[in-house]
Amino acid sequence: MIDFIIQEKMLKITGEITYKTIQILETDLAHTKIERIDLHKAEKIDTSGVVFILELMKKYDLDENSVILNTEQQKLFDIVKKHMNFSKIKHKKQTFLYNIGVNTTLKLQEFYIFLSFVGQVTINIFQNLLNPKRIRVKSIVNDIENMGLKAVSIIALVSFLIGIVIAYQGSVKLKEFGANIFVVDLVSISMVRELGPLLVAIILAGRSSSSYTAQIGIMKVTEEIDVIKTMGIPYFDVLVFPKVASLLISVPILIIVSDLFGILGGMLVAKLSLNITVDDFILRLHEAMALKHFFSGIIKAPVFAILVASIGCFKGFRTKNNVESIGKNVTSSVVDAIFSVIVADAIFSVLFRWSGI
Amino acid sequence: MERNIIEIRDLTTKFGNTIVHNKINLTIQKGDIYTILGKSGSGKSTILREILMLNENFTGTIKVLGTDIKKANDSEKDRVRKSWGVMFQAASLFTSLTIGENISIPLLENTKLSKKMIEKIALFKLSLVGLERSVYEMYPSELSGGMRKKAALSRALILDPQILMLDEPTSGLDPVSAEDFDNTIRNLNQLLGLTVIIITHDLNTFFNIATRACILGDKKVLAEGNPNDIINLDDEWIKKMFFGERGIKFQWKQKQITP
Repeated sequence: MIDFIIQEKMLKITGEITYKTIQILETDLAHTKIERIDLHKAEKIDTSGVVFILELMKKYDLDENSVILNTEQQKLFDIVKKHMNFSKIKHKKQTFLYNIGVNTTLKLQEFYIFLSFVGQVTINIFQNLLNPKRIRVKSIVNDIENMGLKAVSIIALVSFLIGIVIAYQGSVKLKEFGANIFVVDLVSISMVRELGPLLVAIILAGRSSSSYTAQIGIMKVTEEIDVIKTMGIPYFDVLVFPKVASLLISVPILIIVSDLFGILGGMLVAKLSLNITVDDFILRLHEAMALKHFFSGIIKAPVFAILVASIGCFKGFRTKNNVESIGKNVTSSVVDAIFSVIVADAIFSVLFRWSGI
Repeated sequence: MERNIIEIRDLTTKFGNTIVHNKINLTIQKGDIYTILGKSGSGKSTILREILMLNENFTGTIKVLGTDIKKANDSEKDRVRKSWGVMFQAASLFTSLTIGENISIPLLENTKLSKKMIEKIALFKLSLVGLERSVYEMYPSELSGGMRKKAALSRALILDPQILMLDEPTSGLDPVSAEDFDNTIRNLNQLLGLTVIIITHDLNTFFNIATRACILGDKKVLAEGNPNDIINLDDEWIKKMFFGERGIKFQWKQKQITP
């Protein structure tokens, strides 16, 4: 393909000087001083090859007379030379501390924007409620089917398993005390107060907020959101309100499903490993469960629903005009949604403790 | 080397029951600037996709550089793929990479050259298509449509291809940018001996830079040959195109410029 010899500081190249072959020259000529270059017997030279030779000339400070070319090559060299006056590339590198600073500011900035987004969502909810004609029932129902109904099976299964795990772990200790029947209290209260709502919120954070982000993000990249805006349609009504509304409706129902299946799991373990009959279990459940437990669980539903939906939508709107940022934003929407749900749950716990519920 | 860069014989394409092409024959020779014109939906882009091996649902033969792409094995296909540069209609730059990275990709994938050398070659190609040096670090979303097309062109040119295929290169450009683009392509054709295949609706491109052309319509090739011969052909659609309002306006303008 390519051959070269160096005689008395004269580089003679024959064969093809193309992007495929100049790498050989680049490595072999790295430390050899050259004063003249002879190319006129080369069969073929492409522009990459010309760029390489010109760089070589620059490196050893050779002028045009020290390079032997044939007429064809001369033409190509003239073309390339015209375009070779560009400034050097500066590779910027920032220090570690600088990056920490920049990223912290960006995060705080994003949080501030998120707060104003939640404000917009809230105002939009009231606008819609005050003017029910604006509510798009069809898309709400559609969203309930996709985000609520289709999540029932996975939520039921996970809750059932968690109920089994709690009852099983508790049963070992409770057996030692002979307090077998209290497994009912353990499972029902922990499920209804904490785990049910949290499980639903976390699963929806993974299922729904990611899909909201991807949907809105791609709509932004393909300028569909701009189309909606220019048509004079309030885009919050189309893109955000149905999602928030559908989660507001589905989350409480999903929490009840989760509670039921969690307790069902506990019931199974109670029957199998603690010899508590279903009748006894239900009788005890009646005493253990106060209404306040149920309500302190279900009251979290609207908060979780709004958090998951608005983070999903917010991250979608924050997508930049490139494909990579869709991926990044979907990831961060799931992570942020789960994180915020857990933070909100912690705040609820503290509030309930203070008010003695 | 063969003179015929691309040879299409008896090409028939069907999508379901609709026939798109019915026994089409085309010949593209070395050094041509070959434009393919036709109505919307006449299968211009389909031909391009078939040549590019993106759509293998056809009967007939397509030979690129003497290789029958239907019968070629993987290494022959690979050789053919490296011999062309393609620019799609939407420019299709990788949105998450800078223009510089976009242009460098073929070199990074196919060679072991040093970063510095690749940068030099990429910067040269950028300048060759007439883009500013500052574009190199920018992202596609920061550029105008015309600049994006030029950047895509310089990516198509990075490996010094023998064939350059352009799908509607001037659509969506203002007349000045479009003419600029046409000139760039003609220069490249003359300077580097590129064979250029252009799919276009742009009559300017057709009249100004095409050396050969074909017109697709009614599932077949209505005409193939020198642009000036094509104008005088007796076909309703061709007449409408060249002597309709837009065509007449265009010819009138040409007369004003070149008396």
